[in-house]
Amino acid sequence: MSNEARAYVEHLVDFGRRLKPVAADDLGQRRAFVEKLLQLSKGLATPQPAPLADVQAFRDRIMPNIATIMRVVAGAQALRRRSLGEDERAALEVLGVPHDLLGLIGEERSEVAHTTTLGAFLNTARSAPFPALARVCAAKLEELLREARARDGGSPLPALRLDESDVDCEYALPTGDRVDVVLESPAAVVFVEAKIGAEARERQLDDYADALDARGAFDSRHRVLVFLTVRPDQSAGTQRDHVHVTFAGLLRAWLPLASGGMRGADDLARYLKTIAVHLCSIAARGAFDEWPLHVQRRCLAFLEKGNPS
Amino acid sequence: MTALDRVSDVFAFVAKHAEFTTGILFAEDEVPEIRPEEREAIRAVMDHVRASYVGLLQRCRDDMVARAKGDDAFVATMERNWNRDDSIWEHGRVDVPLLIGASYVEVAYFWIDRESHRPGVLNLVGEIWTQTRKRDALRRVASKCKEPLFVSSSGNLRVLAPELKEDTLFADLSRALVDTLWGPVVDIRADLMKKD
Repeated sequence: MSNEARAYVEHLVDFGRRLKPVAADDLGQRRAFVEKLLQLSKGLATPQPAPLADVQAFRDRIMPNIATIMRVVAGAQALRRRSLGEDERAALEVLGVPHDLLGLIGEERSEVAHTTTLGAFLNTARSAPFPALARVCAAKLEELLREARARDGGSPLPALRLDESDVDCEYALPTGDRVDVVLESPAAVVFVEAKIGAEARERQLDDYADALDARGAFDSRHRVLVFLTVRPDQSAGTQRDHVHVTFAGLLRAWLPLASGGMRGADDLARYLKTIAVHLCSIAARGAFDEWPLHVQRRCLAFLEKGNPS
Repeated sequence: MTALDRVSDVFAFVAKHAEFTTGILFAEDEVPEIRPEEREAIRAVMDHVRASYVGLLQRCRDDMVARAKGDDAFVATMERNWNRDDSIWEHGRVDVPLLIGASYVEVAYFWIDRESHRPGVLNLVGEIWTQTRKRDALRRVASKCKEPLFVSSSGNLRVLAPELKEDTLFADLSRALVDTLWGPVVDIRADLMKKD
């Protein structure tokens, strides 16, 4: 059978997967339908490789000249690096720290590990690990929320005074749900739901918005629901008022703080390295010079770009 | 024309120059410094690289299925969530489910990428992964695993195929991985099924 037939069956598979079941029986039928299609698609022709004649240009132009090509590309990147400003160079130093915090313990993509760490860097309570650093981290987060709100065209946020926040992680709601991070300042209550890879469960943010809006909860303070994700296009699945920010935006906002001399800045640098390596793919193990070319290039593009998200 | 069954001179070159492959070949549109005729040559070779890449990974999956022949339930598990060519290429990896509960419990993965054991080149890699909360069976096997099998930094069982040299048959490369992985695959699966 032709490649078109294969593509058609694959289209049907995708279509079948997207159908929403209305009852348990339908779910079984849908699975059986999709599995039948998968069986059928396996028997179909696999697209054939390009004839080797098509690769002659590669043999002639690339293979003998590989060293020159690599030298030109590496040279261009070195020039780009040299033209960075002072702040961007400091950021590059931060991203070049030897180890990343969560990677060391194998928790680099664990949502709980990330939100607990975020909580530690946002908690300005005296008993928190780095209250002075947390005040500036929280102030930067507030700026980031304000910028995101302006970009989305929503109504401007009032002063949230997040630099005076106490933080709770895995905050239990009466419904049994747990909010990843809750910041409470004298002016505001902020719920942060973070997603790394996974999608929000159905109505998850609606439920959190309900809890924030509940009469009597959190007195008259301003309430903000924040959706923090790796992908900028990830859907929150809610029509309720919320602010969407990304880990990349947070990374950009906090990078200048990690090169300062405040207590905890070294730990912040190691955590930002985790975000940069495992969530944003703009850094790798070790210092900049040890990274693969394409990672160096992504990092330079990130640092050169002004837009936070 | 027949499908690729061995490493071509071009694919061997691509595998031998990992920095070029990941930094330029796979991201040519991000590299303004290369000349137009070089870009054209790179674009023309991509179908061949993709066919080699996907073909080699498919061969590993086919060999795993062939090993399970005779155990219908095992074969059926492997054939669940069958990765299509597009997703193999997009993710750079093929997944072979070995045991599925409410979610994946044990999976073999095959991919082609850099490996710190052999810097500078692309390697064909096979790995056995289990869910974190079901790691005892994997740890037990890992504690007594011998070369060429080794434990990766994330605690999984991993093996590297021989270098991707010109004219090496995909079947030989795949066999080197599957022969090494198969014993632990069966061992861990039996242990996990006993406990479930």
